[in-house]
Amino acid sequence: MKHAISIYILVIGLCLQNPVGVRAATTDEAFRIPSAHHIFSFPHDYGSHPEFRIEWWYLTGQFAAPAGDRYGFQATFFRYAFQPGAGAGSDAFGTNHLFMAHMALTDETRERFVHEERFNRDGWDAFAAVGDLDLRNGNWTLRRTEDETMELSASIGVDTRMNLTFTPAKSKVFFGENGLSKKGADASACSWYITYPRLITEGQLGLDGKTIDVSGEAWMDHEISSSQLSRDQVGWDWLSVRFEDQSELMLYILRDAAGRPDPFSTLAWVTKEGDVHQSGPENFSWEVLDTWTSPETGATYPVHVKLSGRRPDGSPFMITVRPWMEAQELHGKLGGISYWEGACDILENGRVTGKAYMELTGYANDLGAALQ
Amino acid sequence: MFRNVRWDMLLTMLRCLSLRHARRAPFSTGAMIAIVALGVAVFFSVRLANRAAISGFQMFANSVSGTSDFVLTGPGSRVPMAELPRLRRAMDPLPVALIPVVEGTATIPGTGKVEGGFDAAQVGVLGLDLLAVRNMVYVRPAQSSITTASDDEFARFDSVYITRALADWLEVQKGDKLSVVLGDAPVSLDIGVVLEPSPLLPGSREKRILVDLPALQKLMGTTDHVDRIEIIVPEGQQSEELYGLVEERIAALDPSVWTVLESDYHVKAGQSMTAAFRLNLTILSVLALLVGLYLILQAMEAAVVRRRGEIGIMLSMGFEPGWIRRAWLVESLLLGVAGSALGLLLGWALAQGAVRAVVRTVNTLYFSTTVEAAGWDWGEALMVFALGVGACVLAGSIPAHDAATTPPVQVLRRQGRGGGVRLPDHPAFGSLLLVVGVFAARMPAFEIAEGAPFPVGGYVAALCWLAGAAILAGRALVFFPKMMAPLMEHDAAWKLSLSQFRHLTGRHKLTVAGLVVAVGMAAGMETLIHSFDRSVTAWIGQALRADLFVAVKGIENASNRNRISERVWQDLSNDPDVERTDVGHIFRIEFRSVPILIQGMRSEDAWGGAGRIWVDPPSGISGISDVPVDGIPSAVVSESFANRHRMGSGEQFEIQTPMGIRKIRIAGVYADYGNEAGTVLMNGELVSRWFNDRRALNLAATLRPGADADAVRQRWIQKHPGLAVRTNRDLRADVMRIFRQTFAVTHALKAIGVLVAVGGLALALFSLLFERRMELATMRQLGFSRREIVKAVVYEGSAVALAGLVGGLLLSIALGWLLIFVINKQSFGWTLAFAVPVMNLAGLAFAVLGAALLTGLGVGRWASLLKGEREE
Repeated sequence: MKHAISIYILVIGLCLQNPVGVRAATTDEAFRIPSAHHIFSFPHDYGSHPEFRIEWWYLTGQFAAPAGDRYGFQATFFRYAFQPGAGAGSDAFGTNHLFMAHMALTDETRERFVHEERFNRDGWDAFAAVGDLDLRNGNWTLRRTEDETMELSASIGVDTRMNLTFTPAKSKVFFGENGLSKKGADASACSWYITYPRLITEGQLGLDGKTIDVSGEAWMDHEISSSQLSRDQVGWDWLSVRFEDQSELMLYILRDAAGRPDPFSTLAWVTKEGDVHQSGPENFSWEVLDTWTSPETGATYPVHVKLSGRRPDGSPFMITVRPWMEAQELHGKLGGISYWEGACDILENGRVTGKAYMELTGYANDLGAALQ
Repeated sequence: MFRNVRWDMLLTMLRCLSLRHARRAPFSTGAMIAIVALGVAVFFSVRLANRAAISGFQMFANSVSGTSDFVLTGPGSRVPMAELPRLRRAMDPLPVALIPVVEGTATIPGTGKVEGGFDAAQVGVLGLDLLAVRNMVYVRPAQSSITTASDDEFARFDSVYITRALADWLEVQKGDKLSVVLGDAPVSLDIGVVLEPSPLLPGSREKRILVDLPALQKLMGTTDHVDRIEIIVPEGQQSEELYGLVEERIAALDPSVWTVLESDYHVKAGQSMTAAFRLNLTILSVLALLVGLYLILQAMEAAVVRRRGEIGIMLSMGFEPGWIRRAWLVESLLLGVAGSALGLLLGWALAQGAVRAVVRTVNTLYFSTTVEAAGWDWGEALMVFALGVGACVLAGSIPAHDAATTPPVQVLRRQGRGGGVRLPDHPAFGSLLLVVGVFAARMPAFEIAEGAPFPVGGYVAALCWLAGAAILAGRALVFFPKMMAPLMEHDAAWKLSLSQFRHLTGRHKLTVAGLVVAVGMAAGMETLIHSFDRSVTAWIGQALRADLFVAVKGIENASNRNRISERVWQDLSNDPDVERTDVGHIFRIEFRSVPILIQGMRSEDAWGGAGRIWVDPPSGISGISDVPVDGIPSAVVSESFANRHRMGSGEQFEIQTPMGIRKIRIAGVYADYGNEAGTVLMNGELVSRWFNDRRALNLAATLRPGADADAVRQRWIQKHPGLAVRTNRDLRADVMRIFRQTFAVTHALKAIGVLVAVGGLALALFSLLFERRMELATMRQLGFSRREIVKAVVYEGSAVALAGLVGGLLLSIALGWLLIFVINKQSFGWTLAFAVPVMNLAGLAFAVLGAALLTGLGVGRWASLLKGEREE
């Protein structure tokens, strides 16, 4: 009987995912477009979705050493399907997917920012498993180990190494309508957006030949799409905040070439209980306080900003985003896409009330064109 | 020597002695500088050419991705694809880059640029993951420069990168198509990127093609393996520590699966394989330098003679002998500096030609290397410069001593006739040297590197015989008057010239000695080349008997990685016009740390190729297809393998194959002039299985009676345009041409030897007559006509040349024997049949005597015009 129910649920699920007689929507290159009818299934949806063009697993967070030194980190695994006909590959050296990965560490005490990028193709040295979370890019790996615990093993150059485990302090949440986050007016400009807003982070940090125990908190996004932006959009500003009161905030502002925010920009609150409340750009204000110009790329980033609006309970808020250091730009030596992504503090009335990671894209390159 | 030197005094003496002379006799000063320059140039050019030839072995992958710290491969230089993720997991905790590499060769037909006789260029092809290699910009930011490709190019796996050197050579550019033969078929490649040369990318100076790894695997038919994996440790403060950790992890790998190569193993393999060849060249160039030294010594000594008067006057005036010696040495030093500097420039220019000759030889015998120019090397330049200056000072020190120590009265008295330098010239000493040489020739080879023998005894013997013969030939001049006097009893010029040999001067002996050395060297090399030619001709006659020979296009050495696929060789074997085929498979492996070739033959002949020349014929095992009951297969090995590894019939050895360690029993030893590495020849099917590769290197087809070889050839070429199909006649001609190319450098050195001999003769005659200018002027006043003086000089010069020539030719027979049976055999492991090149030696004799005659005429005419009172 139990089996019969399971099979019944599975069949219903499959039908809803791809209703009989209804072909899934696809892009011109035959990549699937995420739909709002998807029923998420785990651990399957932790893993890769190769029928979609773009996918990423994005970890950002802060941890501290027992001595009090604070560190910010970013670990990103991208999958990007090649255009059909990229060339003849093989199982070990595939030409179906490009796996990009970015790893960064901000050392607040020493005011040092190190990062590394990697490009690999699907095959022996990079893959994203289907069915569960198991990612590799060179010797960088991210895996689910048990239940919802994940392990990251990564290095930056020869002097920085991170071995971290992540355990959810809160359940995962889904942004957008039934997990479908609209990013623009184009039908294909959307993604499935799955997030762990607060992960307890523990592990070791190897730095300059010494290994230290660290602990902190992190944020993880897993997005699946076939086109992230509309044609007129050039980039986005993204912010994730973990407040001390155990609530979280996520914001993305999609910009056009003139710098105007797109109506699809979104502010989302995750309450202490894990409820998600989302609102459009009419309900918040994003004010640039100061900028920083990269000596490397010449791009000018709005790294000091003020965000104001209303909380889910209707009360007003005004927070200031203050980066730990301004030079937290990833230079894009490989793919040519440079962006700023850095550890920040959140200040309210002059007091630090949370930690944040802010991402500023499209200031050095037109990201919209790259992600079409 | 220069302690408490009064420099003002030294300068005054230099001004009086040397600079005055240089101003008044610019020609002779220039000639001396030119002599030094020539000696230094020959030595420098050979050194540079050697360096350049070896630099071609450097791994292009290194220059693309940064220098590898470790290189791993598997048995038979193959790493199965399944091992790649295993290696990654084994290395996981370490932030190292793993770079799989496949190497290939592309033949570019129809370039119009004939290379090695083929109208086809062969260039190295490297298969790398064109995407992953871009990560090196983070791993080795200071070294990697592959990321010169722009962003829209990096994801194109179907186009190739070519180096600027190749692009310029073929006159192609980005976006063009490049037609090459890869594997056994022609393919058209899209040029996606032209890699610009840069100090960070030294390999880009060579002609290379960079292809995405899986694409190259498919083209080569080797999708199941890569050739090697290079491990690169990122730059950083912890690199040293990480290096140790990588070593630990590598040590823990399964040794039956992984073999660690040194990161510069290509260079080392190249160095090791060509060590004997390069050393031979260097020694030959040193001999050229030694002959140059002799010329310098002679020229300096002549200068002392010429300025005896001045030296005598200075000594009479109270100048200390020490000052004279110092001034003389400083003059030698200045000549050395000027000559060596000029020699470096000349040598560098010569090297551009020499490098082609060296590379041609290396290409034929060892690997394909596409180096075309020798780069300037400061280390080499300094060393050679120091050697040139040192040699000059050394050469100047003997005459300087002579000038300073002879009492003034004696100096002035001897003005008219100088004794010249006294070298150890006792006949007993010369004979002793010959005997020592005989014993030295019996010494076994000394191993300079593993598997790289150096015939030290052979060279010692050569030196002893050269010196011994030079001494004895000089002494032999004494017998000239008695032997020759009756020939023209009433000829005054004849008598006058013979009278010179009754009181032999050191200069006469030295001239003969120099000629003996130069002629001996040149004729000895000619004998070696001729013997080689004869042996190879005989070998080809025996070995090449089939009607058609098929191979992939390109230079047919073991470094050509293109192979004939099984589909194609089966197709050719089943052609209705074919009676039978011999199909050859070849694999290069490491055996006792040196590369050897495992050759498999599918043949109906007993030992694959009916006409092998046996050094030690097989017995007991009747043929190549036999597998003995004890389970150990038999093989026949080439003579160079047997010599290099000191193994013979009946012995067993083990090799590592992708299928594991395999034992082989030696059934016989055969002569093979095809390669120096050493070949193990055995059953083709067995070898294919061991190396999991059924592709063939070549195929020899015997056609059915009545079949038209040319027609079949045309049919095959049309069907398989990637293959080179030659008729028996064509292949014989090709093989002979290739073998002759291997002696390109030797020919050049031989030519230099002859040039030096003739130059030395001219200089010596000039010097001898200059010294006797007073005597000649007196003879004129006594009634000798100009014509008689010219005749006397011609006779004297010809007699000296004849003595040197006869001595040199006798010496050349001994040297030829030494080169063939000792030096060559110990270096290369080849047995050659001794053959004297009568016609060539006659030509050499004619050249030397002709040069002597012409020089005698010129110098004699000059001497006949001298006036007795003329002062320098």
